[in-house]
Order: sequence, then C-alpha cells, then structure tokens
Amino acid sequence: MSSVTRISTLAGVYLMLALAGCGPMTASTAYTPRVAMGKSVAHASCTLRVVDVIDDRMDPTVLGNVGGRTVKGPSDPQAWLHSVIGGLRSNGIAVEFAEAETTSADLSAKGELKTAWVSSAATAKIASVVLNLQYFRSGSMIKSADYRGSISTPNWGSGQQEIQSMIDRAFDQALSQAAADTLALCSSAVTSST
Amino acid sequence: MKAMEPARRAALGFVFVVMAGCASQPRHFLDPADRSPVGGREAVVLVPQGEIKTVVVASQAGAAFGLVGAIIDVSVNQHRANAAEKSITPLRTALTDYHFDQQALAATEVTVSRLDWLAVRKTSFSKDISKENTNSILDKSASPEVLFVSYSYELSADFAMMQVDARFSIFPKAASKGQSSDSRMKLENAAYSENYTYLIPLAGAGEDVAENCRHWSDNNAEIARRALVQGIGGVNALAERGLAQSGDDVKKLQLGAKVDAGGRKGKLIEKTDAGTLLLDDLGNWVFVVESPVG
Repeated sequence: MSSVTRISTLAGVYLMLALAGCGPMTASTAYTPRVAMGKSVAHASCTLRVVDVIDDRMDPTVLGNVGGRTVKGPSDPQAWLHSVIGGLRSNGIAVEFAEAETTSADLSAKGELKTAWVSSAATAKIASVVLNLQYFRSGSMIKSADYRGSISTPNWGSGQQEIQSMIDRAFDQALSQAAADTLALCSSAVTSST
Repeated sequence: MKAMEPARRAALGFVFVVMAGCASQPRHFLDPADRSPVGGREAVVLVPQGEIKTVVVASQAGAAFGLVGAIIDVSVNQHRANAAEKSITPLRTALTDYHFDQQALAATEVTVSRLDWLAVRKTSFSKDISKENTNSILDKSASPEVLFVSYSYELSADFAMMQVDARFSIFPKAASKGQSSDSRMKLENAAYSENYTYLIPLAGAGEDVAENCRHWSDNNAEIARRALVQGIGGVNALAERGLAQSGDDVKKLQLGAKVDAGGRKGKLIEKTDAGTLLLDDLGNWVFVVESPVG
C-alpha cells in the first residue's frame, strides 16, 4: 500500500469517526435484547403480570451526553419502558401487561425506572440504568428489588448504533437479574402450592 | 488529591464547550444597573448527570506514538473507566433513592428567593445542556435574561474527596446587534458567570479506593448524603455571596495571597474555622472544608 493510499485510508477512517457522532440522537423506543446464540432460555413456570410502569426521572427527555453528543430519551417513555420490561421474555419470563393486579395467586409486578443515563469519561462511554420491580401475589407485596445495569465500552465515534447498543446492554444486565428473581418467585409459588 | 485538578478542569471545560463554545473569560459581577432587569429573570437548574460519578484520569502515554499510541491510550482509558465504574457502583447503589436533582432544584429556589433583587420569577429543571435546549429556553423565556445553574457532583479519583460544583450564568434572551442567536450562550456574552466549587474530604481516607468507597457507602451512604447536602448548600451560599459582588470586590479578589488548600491552589479569599475559600487560576471560587466528613 502506498503512503498516499495509507493516508487516504486513515483520513477516511477519521472522517467516518468524525461524522459518526454529529448532532443529537434520540434513543429508540424499542429495546433490543442481546441475541444469545445457542443459549437455552429457561421457561417460566408462571406469568408475570405487569400492572404499572412508572418513570421516576425528573427529566425523561434526555439520557445524557456521550463525547459531546446529546442523547435524547425515547420519544414515548412509557412505550420504551414497556418494551424494556417486555424484554424479560428473552430471559424466559412470560410477561403480560394488564390494567390492574388480580387477587389470584399469579405473580404481578409494578415496574419503575429510577435511573437511565449515559456519559463519557476520557475515551470511554458509559451507560447506567436502575429498574425497580415490586412483586405482588394475592394482593400483597412479596418483594421489591432494584436491578442495576452498568456498562462501559470504548467510544469509537459517538455513533447512534454504538450508543443505542450500550443502553440496551445495560438493560440486559438489569433484566437478567430481574428474571432470576422472577423465576425464583415463580418456583417458590409452585413449590408452596404443591 | 492531585487527580482532582484535571477532573475539575475537564468538568469546567465540558461546561464551557457545551454552554459557551469558547474559552473567553466571563464577567464575574453584575453592574448595579443590570441587577434587576425590567421583566425579571427566569432560572433553569441543569444537572446533566444521572448519578454520582468519579474522575477518570485520561491516559496520554501514547500521545507521541501516533495511531498505535492512540490505541494504547484507548485501552488504558477503558481499563480505568471500567475500574472506576466498578468501584463507584456500591455507592451508587446506596444512593439510589437520593434525589440530587430535587435537592439541587430546591436549594436553588431558596437561593434565588433570598436574592430578591435577582427578580427570578420562575425556576425550572432540565438535564439537557445541549445548545439546542439552552437556545430554546432563551427563545421561550418571557424574561429578558435567564439564569442557568449547572450542577455536577463527583468523587475524586482516589475517593477521598466529594466535590460539588455549580456554575451560575446569566444569559440574555436577545442576541447582541449583528450576532447570531447561537452567540447568546457564549460566555463572553453572559451578563454574569461564575463557577462555585465545594470540596468535602472524607475522614480517615486512605489509598484504598474500595475502602474509601465503603466509608462513603456504609449505613445507606449516610456520609455521602451528608456531604452532598453540605456541598449543595455550600455552593449556593457561595453563589449568594458571589452574585452580590461589585466590580471592585472582584478586583480585590485578585490581590489575595497565593495558597494551597487540600491540593487546590489559588488566591486566598478567606480562611475560617469552616475552611479555606480561594480563587483558582481559572477564576473559580473554591471552598475546601476544614473538617473531614465521617
């Protein structure tokens, strides 16, 4: 490769990186779970009935700033949170959204987004989320837990796709913990009813 | 402690770039004639971060080695960022139900209400520090000027010090003649801008970051909560004093003796039992608390 070609290639790479993060971006309303190739997903022995989804953030319009690029929150926060919590399905939980909890022995839950923000430090980009789930059975709360997802990856160009993927991966972590608790609560119900 | 200096500079630089787009020296006082504009002011509290953060000192070791050096720096920075995120997670978890945003908004509301001559008629909150948002706030404001109060809070790289910052800036709704509307947010066009820093050391802090973090986090982050309350109150008290400064007062600040307090260098404004107040090289008011918390 000639030096001119090398310089052109490098210039192209730099230009791509420079252009990647221009202007504000808006995070997607649809959460996309990580595709786990060949990973078997445990199937829930009961359904999680989600009766309320709350956004506790003071300003849901913005998630933060990565490398000087403003990352706006999804245009429909409720739809986004439904998509995120619905992501429990990827972890083997049968999720239903309903208007109100029932008095039956089915497991129901209220979800609350406490934190979701992105930032950058030096050449790294960071996403941090905290999702709270309150679990109910037969009208009584049986557990409340915060599920945290935190991820730090190199910031290549503040690109939309890499930032979106980082946010989704942070939720992957939170949902994985939530799924483990949900499965345990489901299992305990099956055990106690037999 | 030395790690605080680049962190503060980075944070300040961020605010400068995002809110101003230039690095010129802002005005540190309001002329008597400009104190109470007809039509009053609007105040907007900005807290861009979602949780407490810590300083990540950027690697520059590869700066002299071109692309290979840059890749090395990225790798080192990533390692440091990962370690910092891992270290601060216990404290974030303990502070999950601590609402810095609400505390900052409430404290600012109290401050502006005490400075009745500021004539703040409405105070709102935003996490969006983008130029688009700040321009939009100016466009929509019913007042001729808007006071932006931008907060940040963080632990030093060694977790030995809590730092709360608040930059109070007043920008005009109308652009100067012949200038674009974007120019309104340039610091050189601010009617007033000053950064207030409050530093609270951790009692018994050592070199072990994890151990220091444990101290901040213990008992539902009781010490960190106290430090944050102290810091928010502290920067507001400094602002209340700073906003009332005259041009002569500001000139006198330049005459202070050079001091070093808690690793921060600057010109001494005053030293009391509570701590040391200094004016650093960038013109920021920095208060270093004398008694460590904890």
